[in-house]
Amino acid sequence: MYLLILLHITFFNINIQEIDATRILEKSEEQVQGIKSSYTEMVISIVRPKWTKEMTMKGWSIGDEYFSSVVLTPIKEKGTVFLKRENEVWNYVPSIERTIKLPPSMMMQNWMGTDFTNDDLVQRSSIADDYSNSVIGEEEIGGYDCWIIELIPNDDAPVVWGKLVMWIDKKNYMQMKTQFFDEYGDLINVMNSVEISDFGGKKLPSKIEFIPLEKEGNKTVIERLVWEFDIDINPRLFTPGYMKNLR
Amino acid sequence: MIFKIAWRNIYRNKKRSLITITSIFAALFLIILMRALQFGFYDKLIETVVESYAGYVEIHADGFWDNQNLDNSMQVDQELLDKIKSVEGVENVVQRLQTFSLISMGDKTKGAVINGINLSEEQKITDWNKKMLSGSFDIKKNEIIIGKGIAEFFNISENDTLILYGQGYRGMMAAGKYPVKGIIDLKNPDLNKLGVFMTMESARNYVSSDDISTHIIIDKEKYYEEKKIVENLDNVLSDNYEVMTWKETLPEIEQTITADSAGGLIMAFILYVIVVFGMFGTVLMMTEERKYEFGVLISIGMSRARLFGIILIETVILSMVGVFLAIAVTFPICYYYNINPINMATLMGEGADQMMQEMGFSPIAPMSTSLDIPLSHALVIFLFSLLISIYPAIKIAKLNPVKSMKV
Repeated sequence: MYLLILLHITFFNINIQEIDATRILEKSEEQVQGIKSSYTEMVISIVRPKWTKEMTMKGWSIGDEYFSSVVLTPIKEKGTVFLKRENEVWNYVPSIERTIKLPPSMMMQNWMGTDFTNDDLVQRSSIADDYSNSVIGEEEIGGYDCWIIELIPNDDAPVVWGKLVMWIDKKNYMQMKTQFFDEYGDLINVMNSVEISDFGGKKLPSKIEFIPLEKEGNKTVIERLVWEFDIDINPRLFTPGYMKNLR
Repeated sequence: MIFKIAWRNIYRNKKRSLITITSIFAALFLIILMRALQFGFYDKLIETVVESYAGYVEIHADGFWDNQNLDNSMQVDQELLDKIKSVEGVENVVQRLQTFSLISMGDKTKGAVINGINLSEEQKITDWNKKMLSGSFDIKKNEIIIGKGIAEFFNISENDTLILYGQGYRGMMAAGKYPVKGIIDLKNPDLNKLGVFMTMESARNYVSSDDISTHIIIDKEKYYEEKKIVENLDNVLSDNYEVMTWKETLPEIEQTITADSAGGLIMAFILYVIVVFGMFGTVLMMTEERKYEFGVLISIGMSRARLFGIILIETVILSMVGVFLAIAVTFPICYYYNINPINMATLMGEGADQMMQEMGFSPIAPMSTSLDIPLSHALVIFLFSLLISIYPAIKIAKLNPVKSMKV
């Protein structure tokens, strides 16, 4: 009898989790993208087998449509601005005083020498709409209890991946780890949340590392020093004409 | 004695001798001129592309060639340069910094190769001053010289400013505005279309590095083989470097030459077939004609070997006369067109100039005056004449004097 109840409970639990996967993801997306506007200061480190480069940047965003960032150091690149407007990427380079709208041919190139592509900036796929999901397990990562959620893109989704596996912590719905698989089921990239901090009462990953597995010894680390939410930002900041005034 | 008889035989039938000589002369004349033109063209090609800029031998950091990236560059110090200079066969050494970038003016943009060069050192390898179309070769910091093709593309004149935009060293962005101080015609269409030149210092500044180079270019002593230099260099340099000849770095030139040369050899082969059969025809005719005479000579006691010797000498004399005539006539022609090169473009008509430029060739082709060509072909003809004389030899050996004299 007890055994039966126990079995039933376990079974039931799994059922609940399956139902919940969508909600977990929604909550998790809300964590970051539900933010109306934000201001951030970050350090981006590009790690290569033979060298490392560090950049500091400031960034502003409104929703997930508008994002602007300006480089503070290294001095030689100071004032370089990247602007994302819906699905366009603009680049302002102070040393040539030119604003460039990145052509499609440059979208797959590295963004500022990191392991991200320019295209990653304008990714418009939605985890909730473009993937079907299921909870496939639980695991503790960095002291946080996580659900492991498998995401398979829908047939018509504008997605390059064959599969994503996400570790989302149960309490704060943070994406602790994401694995990116290609269409042949090979693991291509891993994104880890290495440090968690409190930003304005919200617990969020403050240090994320992105590791492309194809290139040994390469990784990009993003560390957010400041992250403020729901502040007033002049929408003018997100116009190509204003880029040269950003500092 | 044998020689005298052979000479008299040639002299006796002037018409027959003349036909043989003419056929040898005509074929060899064509072969030599064709090959001289071809080889002259190759020499010119190598000279414009290899000698003037690319260099006979190049050294890069190991792995650079397969992944031409500034992160695969090297630091070159004086010690390394001295080491390379001391290698046998090396005449001059220069280092360069090469990187791909976008260049832009107004609303036009194109890809280009940015070359950081050491002006005074480069001048030792080729005379850049002579190649300047306008402006001066003596550029200062952050000034550039551009290839003629780029100038045409952007319709640039001196003191216009180009924007350069690309990847720098170790993740840095490379971008800058550079005034154009000169336009150069490197006689090499690819370089003209892609080449942007600035001082080494400016280029390093552009890519945000103090001390890197991508290429070490070696100018060899004139008749020294590049293969040997590579061997010598391999002995001196560590595994951190790769040494390549122009045949590896510019395989398309080597391939063009091989393919074109093969075509020439086929033509030469066809001409040889004609000559050889012409000669064979005469020899055949002569043998049949002189059967009676041979029969008489053998029956009065001349040995068959001697008789064969006479025939052999006759054939050799005939072919040699043809060969020397051909060499004597073609050499001045080659020499003349070596000094006054043929412009293939005018030869081929309107538009050919552009076509050849696009294919990467200079349309001006001087003839080669190298003696290798006539001598090697003369040797071939000579060997063939020996081969042909086997026929009368066999005939003579089998000759029955009694039968041959019954007419």
